[in-house]
Amino acid sequence: METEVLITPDHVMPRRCEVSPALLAQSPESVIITTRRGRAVPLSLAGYRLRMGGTYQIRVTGPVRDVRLIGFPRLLVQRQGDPRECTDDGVRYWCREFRVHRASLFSMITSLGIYPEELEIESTLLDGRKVSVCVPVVLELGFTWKIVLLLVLWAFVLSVSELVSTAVRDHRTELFESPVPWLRALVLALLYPVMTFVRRVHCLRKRAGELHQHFDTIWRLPERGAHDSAEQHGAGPTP
Amino acid sequence: MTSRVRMFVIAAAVLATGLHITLADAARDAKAGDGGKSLFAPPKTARDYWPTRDWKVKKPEELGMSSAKLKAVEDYAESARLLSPYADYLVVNVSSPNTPGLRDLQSVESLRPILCAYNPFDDVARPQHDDGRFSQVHVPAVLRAPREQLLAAIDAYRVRRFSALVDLPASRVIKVLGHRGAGKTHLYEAVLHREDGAPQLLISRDTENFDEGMPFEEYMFQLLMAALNGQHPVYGYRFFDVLAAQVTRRLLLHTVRELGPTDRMFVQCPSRWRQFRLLWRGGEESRDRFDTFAAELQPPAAAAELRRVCERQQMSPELLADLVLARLSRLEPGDSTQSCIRRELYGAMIRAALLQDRDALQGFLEADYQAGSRARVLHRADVVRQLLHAVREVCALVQLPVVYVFDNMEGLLAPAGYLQPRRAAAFLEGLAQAVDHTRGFLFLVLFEQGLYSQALMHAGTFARSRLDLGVHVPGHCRVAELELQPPTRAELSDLVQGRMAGLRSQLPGGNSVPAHFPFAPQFLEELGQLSGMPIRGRIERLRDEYNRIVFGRCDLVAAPVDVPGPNEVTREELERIWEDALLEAGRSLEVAWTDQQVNLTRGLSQLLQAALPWPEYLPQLDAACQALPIGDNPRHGFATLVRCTQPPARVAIGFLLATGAGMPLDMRAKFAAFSDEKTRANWLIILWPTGKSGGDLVAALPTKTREVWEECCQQRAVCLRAVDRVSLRKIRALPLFLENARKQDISLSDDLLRSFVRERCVEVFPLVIPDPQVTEHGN
Repeated sequence: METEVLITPDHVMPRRCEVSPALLAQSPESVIITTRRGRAVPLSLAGYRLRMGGTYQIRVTGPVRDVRLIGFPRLLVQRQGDPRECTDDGVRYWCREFRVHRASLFSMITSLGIYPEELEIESTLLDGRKVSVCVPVVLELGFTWKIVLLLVLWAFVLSVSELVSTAVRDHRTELFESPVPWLRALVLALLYPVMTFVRRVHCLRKRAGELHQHFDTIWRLPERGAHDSAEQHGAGPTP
Repeated sequence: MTSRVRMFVIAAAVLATGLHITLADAARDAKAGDGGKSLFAPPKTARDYWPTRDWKVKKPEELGMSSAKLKAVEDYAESARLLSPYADYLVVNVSSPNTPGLRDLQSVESLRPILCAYNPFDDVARPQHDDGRFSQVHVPAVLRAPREQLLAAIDAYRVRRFSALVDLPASRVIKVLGHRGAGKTHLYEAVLHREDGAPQLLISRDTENFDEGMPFEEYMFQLLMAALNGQHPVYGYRFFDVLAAQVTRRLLLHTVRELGPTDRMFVQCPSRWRQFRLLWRGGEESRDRFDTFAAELQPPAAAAELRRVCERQQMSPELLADLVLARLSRLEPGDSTQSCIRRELYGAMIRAALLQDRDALQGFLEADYQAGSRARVLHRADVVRQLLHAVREVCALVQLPVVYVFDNMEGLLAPAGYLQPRRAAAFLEGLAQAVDHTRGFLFLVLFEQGLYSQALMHAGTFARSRLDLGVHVPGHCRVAELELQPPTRAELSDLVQGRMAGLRSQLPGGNSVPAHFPFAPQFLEELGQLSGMPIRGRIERLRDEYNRIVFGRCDLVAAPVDVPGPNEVTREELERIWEDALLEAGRSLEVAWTDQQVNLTRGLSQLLQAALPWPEYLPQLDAACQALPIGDNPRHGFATLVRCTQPPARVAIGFLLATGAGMPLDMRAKFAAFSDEKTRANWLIILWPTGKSGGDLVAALPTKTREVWEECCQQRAVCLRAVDRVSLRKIRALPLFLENARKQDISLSDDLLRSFVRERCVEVFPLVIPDPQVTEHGN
């Protein structure tokens, strides 16, 4: 009978009694997002609020020897340049620059110009371990008058087209005789930005809720009194 | 310290009565065996320093002395000289109106001899005790070379980077050999009081608990826990608290850094209105606050004042503890024994540091590490090894070398004056096993030269080879054995200079006197060339020479503490040692009575060994009994096994000491006596230190413990008995009593010990007699 070599799984490494991961750092000292010029970016309950069209930096401090942006919405975010080590006010940090693109007009209008996303940053610590940190961000279109006007115009066009199509289909002529439908369309168009604002708030709250749920999952607080089960068991009387 | 001060107070009081002859003459009389005329015997134990009713101060006439014979100044001087070793301060109150020539006594000329009656070599010549005066006694020049070697070896166990078990240096043994009085204990104290103050965990020379039947690693773990739970012998802090603060600081720092930008806001549970505002911006404040907190947690400053830092940053310690515990659960998941142990240990540290939970360490010890492990059932030794490793890991994290120091080996291996081969072999084999199975521990074994040679003859090749491995110390090559040599001429000169430094500084022009002052150079030369005399003998010669030169007396040999050779003990002395042991036992039971499982089991075993056979009172009990580890629970699995002839049975006696969550585990561990191969008991008596003396004890058990009882006691002869505090103290006191007697070189004959134990511990014996009404088929 022929013999054969025992085939062991390749991925099985020799077992090494490591120290507890709880005692080791699982993240760099700090990860913040700033503008290209180093100015602070507003931080909300839904994450850092980044404007479309802006260029930002991820600044990672601590004993790190490399930083990579590994998880990001590829349609909206583009990495720029290579990570580099910089110094600001005597503080050394690793810097990763990225740019937030403008979304297409259709996408902007359908999603109301707000995109809750997450950036995943992987840092290589000095001891060679790779740790990753997820930073929640909200990519949004600036809420400027230009956008308001655009949205009003868009709503107005939609309303008018609807009125016209109704008039042609039903052969009704009051559209051209009464100003009421026009006013109604105008009011509807003006309500559109308000609706957008409300929906944006709703979107931010929803995102904040998701993050809160995530927080509860990750930082699930242990049940109080789990260690004090003495009462349950009844502590024995002391002598 | 307290006793010395009290002694001094008494001394001062007696001096103040005007009966200035009393102390010196009384002490001399006592030494001369004039017991009837003595005021009191020279003190031997701490108890002697306490006033009792017997301490009547006699008048000089009663002593057969006339006032004319009183030489006040000389007597005061000698009293001061005799008392000075026991007192930290000496106050001479010369205000006795009845003393003739009182005013003359108050002159400087009269007082000078009293105040100068101090011999700087007295303290060094006495055997070293852990009395907190070492820094006053120590001269760095003495035993400098071995001390530096030992410190370098200890520092080799201070790991700079620790990421895996292999980063810890292998466990090794260093033997310190020397004759009696060669300075072994002094060397240990010098290492303990190291000048650079570098932190180190020296696990003391407490050899009391060593038992041949106990696995060595369990012995190590118990010593380690006792050291962590105890106070630092020099600085007074509790080791566990310091460790806990530093580990918690580290865990807290990692936790704070891992909190994401939004997590930091959620931690603070903002109000609804604040949440609405935070939907737009404003989270920077929370982020920066946590960044500041993290900066304050940077080592090394924050560890000691962790709670203060939390308060300064207005962070709730309870909330922070919850966060750190949550992170701990996430990163140490699973039900493997290692994970459970780590979770419990770090959790205990977090609770101790942040929530000021003094019993957190007890919680760690009480936890059941077998129950959660569904993967496989670990053997008791594996659990102990994992426990040891977890604690060692934490110590390595804070660069704390862990050193076991076994001093007083003659007390351990030759308690009766001759080497016990079985005990010696068990100890050395256990040590060798520990060297093989553990990492990161250094063992210092302080042996008398001859005893080591004898003990080695009973050790196997394996043990010998492990004992000789040695530690590789940078700059000192390999250190496996240190032989303490007598001091050279130069070291003696340094010693004289060191001890005389205080007195020389008080002399006008004291710095210009020669280094050998007040001795002749010839004397030091001859002393240095003496062969075979250990360091203590040479210091005694220095002391006597000092007495001769300074006080002009040849017969002044102070400090009657070190009396070589065994003494025959009187009943009164035995009573005193017993009372001391009871006091000590009471203290240890008050501090951590749930931690006394081994001590009580062993104490009961020794008590029964001492008292049995006792055909008149306990005919049914055999003399053979021993304390044994049982089952797989290293925390609670101990029992005393005794053979009973009527009914014929092997009776295991265990203590139900745990409280709270550990109590059911403790109860279950005791039932292992039935299945354990070593014990194979068919009777079990569980002694429960409860306040209830009557009624149904089982009904008084807490619910879960009662469930365990009802589950386990089916078809078995089991008995639950209440044990009162007095009995517990006596059981705990017996090993201490025997240890103290041995330390004082008192030989206890078997008959004396037997009658004493029977008389003193009579209420303990009914607890260990099997109840004939209980059968093997159930209660």
